[in-house]
Amino acid sequence: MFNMGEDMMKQWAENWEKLMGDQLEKLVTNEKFISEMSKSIAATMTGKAVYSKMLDEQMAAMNLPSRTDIVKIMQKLTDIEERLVDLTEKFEDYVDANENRPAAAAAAGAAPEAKGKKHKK
Amino acid sequence: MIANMDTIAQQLDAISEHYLRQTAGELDTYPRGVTPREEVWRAGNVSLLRFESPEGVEGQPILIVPSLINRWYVLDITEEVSFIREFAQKRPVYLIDWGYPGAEVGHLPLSHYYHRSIKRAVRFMRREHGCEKVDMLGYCIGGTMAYAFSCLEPDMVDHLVLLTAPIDFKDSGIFGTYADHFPTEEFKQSMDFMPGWLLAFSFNFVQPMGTWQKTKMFKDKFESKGFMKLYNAMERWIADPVSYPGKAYYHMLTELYKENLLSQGKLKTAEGLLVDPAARRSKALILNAGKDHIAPLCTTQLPQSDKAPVKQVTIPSGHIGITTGRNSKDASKSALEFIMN
Repeated sequence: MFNMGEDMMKQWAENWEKLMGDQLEKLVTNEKFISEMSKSIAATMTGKAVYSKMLDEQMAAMNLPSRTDIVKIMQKLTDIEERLVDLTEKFEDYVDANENRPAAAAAAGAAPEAKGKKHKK
Repeated sequence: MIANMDTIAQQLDAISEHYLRQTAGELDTYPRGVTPREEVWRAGNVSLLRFESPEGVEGQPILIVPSLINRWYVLDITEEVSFIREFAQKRPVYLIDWGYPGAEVGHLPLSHYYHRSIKRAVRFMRREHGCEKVDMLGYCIGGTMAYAFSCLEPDMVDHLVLLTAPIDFKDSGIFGTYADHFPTEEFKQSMDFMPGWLLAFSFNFVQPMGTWQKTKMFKDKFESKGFMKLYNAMERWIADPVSYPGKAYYHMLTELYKENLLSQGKLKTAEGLLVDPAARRSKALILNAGKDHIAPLCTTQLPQSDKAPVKQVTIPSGHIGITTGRNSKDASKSALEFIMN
């Protein structure tokens, strides 16, 4: 008797899982649903952009830096760091080539500019 | 009566908080990757890791390019299940750790990652080992990036393993449908990065019964120590989401998912270099997963213009299962055999 109940419960759970799985899968792969959800995300993002712009203007009116200003500075710092890495590599390649290190000479030979021209349309 | 109920509620609250804290604490003690390693190079968020190999292990080094969407240590999840550990037994192994990108790199294009960053890593390895070429394994979007790099720099890559890497985005499954509808222009105007939690949510969202099935599996297997070790390590990895740099995310959605430029040989770097599949010369292994819903089998095929030698091995598992599931050993063995021969 107890086993029969347990089996029934198991069967019920399996049916529920299959039914839910099928229905939810239909929902999340439904193009109309995805399209509507994307419109909602687009509206949220547009709202965020408007809100950020308003904040930027308010902060500017108070002569204070906004988040956008700080992010711009951070991105400039990233650019400077990138340039430094590039220059360091070029300097190392130059030194290696002068010391006739074979692998380094090959690396210097495969300079980015030379390769780039080869693939440019 | 009410006072008693209040006391019980308080006690339950204290117990659940204690349990949650303890669980979180335990998860936090799980290592992010198990193979000993050192950071040998860094630029901003991006660093190059070198993994420890047994003494005497030499030869052409292997560079692993993990996905930008999640953390790299899914490839080194436990001592028993680790691509990296297996590779490190045979060859010097390096990996690009993309770190935790934020708003400060939101302006960098996708080509910064698939060309500039990978090239810096390869340059370091060539200087370190005195070799002309390196072997490369790219996982997921990391595979897409490794492929693009091998087209841009054909002289630098010898063997290329594309582990569940989408290359042809024409029929890219459920994620392709979401990408087609995603408001990319609104995203570009408003976001510096795609938040990691939102990416993690979207992966759960497209598999609505995933959590239920995981809970069922947990119930069946929680008494096995081996299972619990892997389960906790995986939970630790899942609970460690990373944000995707804004401009790079925009490029991935528009240039890859929406316009499929890589497969058509029309993708260009920010500097205007053409990513030409016809220029690629490295030997390639497509290592894909039969039940992959993130990179379905048809997306892992190379463009027709790509005439370099290519092999294919399909593992009967899912996108994550190929790295951590019961068939992951077969996958890592296939990759290693391909690289060693």
